Amino acid sequence: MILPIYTYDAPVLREQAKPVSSMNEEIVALIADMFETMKAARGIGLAANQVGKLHAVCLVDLSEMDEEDRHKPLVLINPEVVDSWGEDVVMEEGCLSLPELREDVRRPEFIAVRFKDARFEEQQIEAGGLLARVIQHEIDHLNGIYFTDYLTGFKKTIVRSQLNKIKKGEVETDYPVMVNGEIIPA
Amino acid sequence: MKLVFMGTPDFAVPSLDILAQSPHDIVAVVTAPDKPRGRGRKVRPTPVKRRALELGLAVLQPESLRETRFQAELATFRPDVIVVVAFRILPREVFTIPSRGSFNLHASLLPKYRGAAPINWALIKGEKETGVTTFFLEEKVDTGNIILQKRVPVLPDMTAGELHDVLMRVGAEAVMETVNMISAGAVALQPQDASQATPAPKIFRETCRIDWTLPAENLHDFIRGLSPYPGAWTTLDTREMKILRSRRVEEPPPVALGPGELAVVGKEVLLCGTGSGALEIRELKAQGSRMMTAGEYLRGHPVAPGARFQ
Repeated sequence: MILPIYTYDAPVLREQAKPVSSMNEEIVALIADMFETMKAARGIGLAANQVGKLHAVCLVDLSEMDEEDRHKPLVLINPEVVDSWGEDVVMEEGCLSLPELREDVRRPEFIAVRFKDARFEEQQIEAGGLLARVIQHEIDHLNGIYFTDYLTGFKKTIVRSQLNKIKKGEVETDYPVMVNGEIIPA
Repeated sequence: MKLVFMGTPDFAVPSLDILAQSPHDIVAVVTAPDKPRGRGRKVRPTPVKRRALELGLAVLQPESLRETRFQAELATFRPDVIVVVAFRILPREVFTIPSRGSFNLHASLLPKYRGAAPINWALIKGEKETGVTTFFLEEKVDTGNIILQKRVPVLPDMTAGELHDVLMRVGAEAVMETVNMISAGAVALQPQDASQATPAPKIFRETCRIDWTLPAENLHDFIRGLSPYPGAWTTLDTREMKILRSRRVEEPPPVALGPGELAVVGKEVLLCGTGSGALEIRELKAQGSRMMTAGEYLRGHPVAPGARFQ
């Protein structure tokens, strides 16, 4: 089922997701719905907060990317960045919860991330490039953080007016969104 | 039905694909001759030719659509319909060959934006909605009776590249539905209201030069309407610079800026004054350089106080 994506400034996007203690039907169904939702919105990552659920679950799908960035889809349950290294790199980010906003964000180039996979088996992987970028962005969501939180100065001022538009539902999306408790179809 | 498909660029490929998957029979594909394309300027087949060959379809590449040999060959396929998507202007001798007519897919809501660059002009003019139209070909370009239209919303920051991709998909659906309507004999034609017509002429380099005395709102539409190709341009210290993405700044900028005047705020915000309001320059491409975000550009190129786009 395609779920509406919660947009700024939904309270659920400012909350901390709760760790998943074991696999159950609810989580299995949530993962399936999140994949469907992400695909329909043509996203490359999605966190459970973005569909209104406070479970520490996020997805990354880089299977349609160009060769150097391509990666099989990942389900990350209770993900945690355990290490990061390399120089911080600037890359432009966007977010399904912040329609039409794209901004440069500085983050570590490489990370090691520990998580449980879709079979609830413990995994640890090292990631760089776009994969590291998207994982960090999604884990931020599970901690109630938007990429725009990293902006400073006049950039933040410019972006604030765009955020206010999103808050009031004054942007259009080609995927269903949840604005102030109301579902707005695509 | 037996179809002949005519098209050349990427925009036409999804339409060819959807027809190839349908029960209809594509008896021939007509496309432009191979010529140097893309980086390296190697002689390469057109996107439509490449796809047609993958699909195992017969391909014709006449130098001129007026060649009698080409017209005779086309007639031997006995097509019911010719489907035209992003192709040259067809002479009467060609579009009258099929028994049930020739139709074109046009990337606007006709009669608006008749001409070669409907996607760019719809954005430049700040349209909130555009779409695609299929119509039967007639002698005068883009004037034929409308078979089908599909509408799409235009988002405020959408670029020509993004709208192209949306209309390419929606266009393929329109082509498929139009073929099915003709096949079923269920076409209700609607003449175009010529009084509502607006032009969308081919865009030349001089058309793309930015006039910084216009209001920020219009400049934002101009820039996105020409992005990424051919690219709105200006000059900085006599060097040509393409501006590929911008944003209207709704807050009063920390410094007052005249038309074309530049200011860097913080480390990464590049502001430019206009006739009315300021514009944030977000992506640019200096001559001989690659495309960069403003942040990237500013890290390598300090903008001197008083610098301005001319």
